[in-house]
Amino acid sequence: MTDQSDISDETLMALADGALPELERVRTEAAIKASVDLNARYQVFVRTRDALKNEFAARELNPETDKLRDLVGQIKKSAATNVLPFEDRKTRRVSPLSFRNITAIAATLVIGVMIGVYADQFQTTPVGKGHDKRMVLSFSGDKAEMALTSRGSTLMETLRQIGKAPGTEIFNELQAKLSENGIAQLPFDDDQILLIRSLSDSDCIEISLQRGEAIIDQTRLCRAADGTISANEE
Amino acid sequence: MAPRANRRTIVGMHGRKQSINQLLLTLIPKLTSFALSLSRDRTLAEDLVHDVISGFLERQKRGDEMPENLEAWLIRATRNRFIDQHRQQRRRQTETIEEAQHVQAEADDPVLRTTIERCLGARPEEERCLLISCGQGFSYAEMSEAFDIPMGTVMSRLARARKHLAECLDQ
Repeated sequence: MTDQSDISDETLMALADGALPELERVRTEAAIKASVDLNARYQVFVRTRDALKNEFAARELNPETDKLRDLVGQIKKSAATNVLPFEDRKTRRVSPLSFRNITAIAATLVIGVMIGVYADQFQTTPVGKGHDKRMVLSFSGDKAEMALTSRGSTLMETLRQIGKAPGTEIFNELQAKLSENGIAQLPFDDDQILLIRSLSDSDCIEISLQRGEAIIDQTRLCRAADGTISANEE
Repeated sequence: MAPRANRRTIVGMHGRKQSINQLLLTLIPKLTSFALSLSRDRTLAEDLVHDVISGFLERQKRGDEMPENLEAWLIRATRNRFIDQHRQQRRRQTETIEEAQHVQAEADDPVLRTTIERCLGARPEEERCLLISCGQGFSYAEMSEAFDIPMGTVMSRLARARKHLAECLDQ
């Protein structure tokens, strides 16, 4: 049996007000039946419930004073003007070519174009894409970005251009990058990468174009004792 | 959901979406009943409702935020306005309550009614508001929303107030 000290005044009040969940109601009612003291506590809430309802039961009181009656009249008038009669509504049907619709379409187009232009700012140049095979190498330094283009040419021709210009920033930066890591990997085409490795046994770098694990093309750039660079196709 | 200004529809206490003006029209009689229970004077009650509704319409015109639950908001505004007025004009208000005891002549037991009025008159305004709302049939959740206090607090305060009331009725 439930100990009556477990049952709070709030629970007894909720029972009297019919606000207790079913399971708790059954449990509390059983405890009340078994305890005179608990029943006395419960009766306090039953009596006050009845007394308060008798005294303050909500009623629908229509306004009696002119002041409130006038205000209600104003609200009624305002409520009526917010409702569009059916016939009026039919005649107000908006044409698809109305100024409002055309303006909305024009605004949508303008916004679309603006978004397109904005998005284009962030587009990166694809490497070696399509007919314009552009290999972009980004470096830090005074010339933040330098591009080497080989229009329609093969990779070997591109690399020969590198070899023809020893001492250029591209070459120097490439060398610096390789001296740090011994290897540099650059995206070249959609699914191709350009892998550059320095060869520890000589003053050469090996450049290979790979698709996945497969080597598609490979060459080696070597610096001679007089500083000239030569490219050797494998 | 965040409150929005200039809405034409609003959610009532029981979750129905209605136009604000329609809802106001349905709420005014109920609000008048609540205000009458507080003030015990029909004219004062209607003045109270008039001021609260006018204040709400002014807010609406200004484009202020609309309350999510208009009924709870109006009940709270009525209670707050009553308490303010009551505190400011306590002496005059007490005289008015005494003069206006005939208003609720339809209550079942005139002796009990007078005793309740005496008992409630001795309690703080906040407690009276809770007891009146209870008598008006507000649920604990509705009281919680209307008076902006947690439901647990509503229940504990109401239980305590009813025990005081019972003690007073027994005297």
